[in-house]
Amino acid sequence: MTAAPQSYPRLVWQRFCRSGLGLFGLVLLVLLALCAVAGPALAPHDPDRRFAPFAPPSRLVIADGRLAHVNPAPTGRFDPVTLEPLRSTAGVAPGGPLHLLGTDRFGRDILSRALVAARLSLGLALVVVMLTTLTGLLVGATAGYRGGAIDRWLCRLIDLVLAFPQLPFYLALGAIIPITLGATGFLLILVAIMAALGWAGLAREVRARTMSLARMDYVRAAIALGASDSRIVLRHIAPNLASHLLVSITLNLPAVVLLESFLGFLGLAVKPPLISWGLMLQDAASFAAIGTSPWILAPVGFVFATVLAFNAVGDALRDAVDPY
Amino acid sequence: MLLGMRCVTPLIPTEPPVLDVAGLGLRFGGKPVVEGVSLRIARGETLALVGESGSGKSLTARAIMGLLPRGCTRAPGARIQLCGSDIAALPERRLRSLRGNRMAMVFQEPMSALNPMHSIGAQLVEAIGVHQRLPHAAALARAAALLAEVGLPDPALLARHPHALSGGQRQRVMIAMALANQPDLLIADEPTTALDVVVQAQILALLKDLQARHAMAMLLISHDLGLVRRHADSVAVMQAGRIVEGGETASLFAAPRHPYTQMLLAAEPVARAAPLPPAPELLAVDGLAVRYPAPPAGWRRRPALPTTVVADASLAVQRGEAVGIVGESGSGKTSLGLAIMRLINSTGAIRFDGQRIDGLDRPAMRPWRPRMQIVLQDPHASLNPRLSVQQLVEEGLIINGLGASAAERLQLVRAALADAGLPGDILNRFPHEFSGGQRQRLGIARALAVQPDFLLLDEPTSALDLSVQAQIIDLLRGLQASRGLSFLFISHDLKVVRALCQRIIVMQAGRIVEAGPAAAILDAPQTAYAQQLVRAAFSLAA
Repeated sequence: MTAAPQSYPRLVWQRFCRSGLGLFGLVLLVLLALCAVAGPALAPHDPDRRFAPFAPPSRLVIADGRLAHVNPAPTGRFDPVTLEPLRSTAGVAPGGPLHLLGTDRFGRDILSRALVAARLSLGLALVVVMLTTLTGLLVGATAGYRGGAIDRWLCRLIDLVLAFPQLPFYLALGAIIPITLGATGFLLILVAIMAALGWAGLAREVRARTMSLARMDYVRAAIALGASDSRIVLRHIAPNLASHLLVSITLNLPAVVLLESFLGFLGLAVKPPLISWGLMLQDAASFAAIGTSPWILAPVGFVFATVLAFNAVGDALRDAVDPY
Repeated sequence: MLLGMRCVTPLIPTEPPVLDVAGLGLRFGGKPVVEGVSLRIARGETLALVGESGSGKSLTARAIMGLLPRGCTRAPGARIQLCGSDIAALPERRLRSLRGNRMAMVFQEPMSALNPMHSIGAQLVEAIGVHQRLPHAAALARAAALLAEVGLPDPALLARHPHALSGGQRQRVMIAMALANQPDLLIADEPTTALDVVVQAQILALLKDLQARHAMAMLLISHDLGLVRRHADSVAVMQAGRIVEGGETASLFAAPRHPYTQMLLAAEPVARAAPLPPAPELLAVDGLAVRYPAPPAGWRRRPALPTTVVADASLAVQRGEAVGIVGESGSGKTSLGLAIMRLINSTGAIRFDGQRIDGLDRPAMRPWRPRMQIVLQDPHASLNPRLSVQQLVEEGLIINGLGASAAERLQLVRAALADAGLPGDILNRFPHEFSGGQRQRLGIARALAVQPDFLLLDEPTSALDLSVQAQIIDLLRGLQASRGLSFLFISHDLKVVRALCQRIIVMQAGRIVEAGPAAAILDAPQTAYAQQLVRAAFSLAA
């Protein structure tokens, strides 16, 4: 026996703290959550206000002992290969609008848009993951606990969803959804489809885990005490699934963020006036644009940070949730 | 270098001991787990290292082999000599050339020590080939010879894979592998713990015979004192990482000096349960059979017949009586027990207190549940890790509506904990904070809380150390006397059954082959199988 009894969350937190990467991820996650909550307030500009198109990021300089910024201006000369105008900060006075990450093809400030987009991108992922987790949990737990014919049929359903070729489906979707559909309607359909195709992997995991939990000796002991099905599921199986679900959520969230940005790249992002990281990356689909204005890829950094943060937290959680 | 050279085979008085360990200390994350261990084993001698789990026996053996687990380090200043040459400071590359060559190890669990992907022959050839350059055909012939030497003369075995062998055969293969390069030192780490009693005796006889034939030194690690007394020349007793007592086997067993050794010896169950006066019948089972359905057949193939694990079992338990069910693993003991508790499906009549309970479904069984309880084998798997002690023990009370208020239930929980010999201040603790023996007590407390008349115990002591086992037996005998509780006690250990049970049922391959009063079965077993079981259990301890 150890000296003092410890509660489960406390044990998990102690073990989580042992992972440096996990803590780093957690800090990153808090920052991202801050962006999602207070993005519009943090944004230096109105995300729809137009400045000079494709303006490169401002340079930070020290002028008169104070921090200032310089926007590179056209020099009047052209690149001999691409024939693009060359810009330089030489001889340009500090001042002008601050674009830390430059502007897009309509001249909108990318940093502002990325901060505002955080709410939609992360919120969309949260909603989708909540739906997939709920569906996966229900289907998986039912199949795993009931077994028999129900299990066989649900497993075939899981196989069907997993076997579905998702990429061509998403591409076809772009063509099928009526162009006249409003931004909100389009968003709802996108969420519904991501949720409908995303639950199967989790359902399969939950099913396997429920099956092994239902065969545990302590479940047998509970049956021997006369426990009902609902008591066994709620008291003996669900709490032992919780840690698994928590980890699955932290690993699925970045997957949805990634999918959303990827679909945006394919031209299947949310519709304006909504802003998401995926939509911002739609601009980056043109190689010419990336070649001349690489800063339009900046939302990738946000996606990258999200995936990194969630994966680090998820990995640390996975190690921490089984303290026994 | 001495390493390439073998020890001189004939016994010369001046020959250094095969193994000479002095001042061995091991640390796990800075914490000392083994301290000041010294061992000497001469050629042809067997030294037994005994002690309870966690005493550092296995770690010591692994330190000698240079196979310490990650995070475990050797304290400086230790001497480990093999045939007079120091191997403590050798680099890993050199150690590798010794392992399996000059010193070899036989592990506890023969299933996980063999690679399931390769045939027995391939694994033996590999073991030979690592240290000897032999053409494949010669190595294969040597492998066959080795198998013959360990009592597996059938050359067809070479082509088989581990899963096709029984536990005893696998352990023989492991021994053959250890012998492949004629080691000077053989370390056997609980070589028979995972095996059935009858097979245990065979494996030990084999080890002893091989040791004499090859003049090996053997380090035998065991918690089974009966086995040690019969097979070891000398004994070292380990407690909490230190050797507390050592000496020749006979003199040590005759007059143990250290209190820990005395306690270990006293913990051997030697008592016999007292017979009981006749009492009314509580449980009667008649013609019970358990069949597991065959796995689903392939497309359009006829479904296979179900597997029968228990056939035509009949038994009766009187009020206040303890009945033991013994038999080797796979004999259907556990299935019979689960079927009686109506936790798996079966056919045949089960009467509890005069009423048929077979055929009742789960809701219909509920009124019967508090009267018949079960304690499961594995104390680690039978307690939900997320529930506190109070929640665990209270569950049966809540389900069955016992105890009018929370305060009254708490009273009952405390009473059950006290009955199981646990303190009352552990209510808010979780199962992982307890040792195996304490967990088993928790399982017993959970069962006792609902005040049953009948308790089924499925190998409740097999995962526990000898001294803890003795405590649990004492506890059960006390409950039998004070509460008039009836037991059905499933075990493979006849010694424990002898100490607890008035009647014994012997099972083999799903059938009851012999049943009767404990004294009759133990003193004059009728069937060949029961005779074998009794001989294996008690001749080792003799």
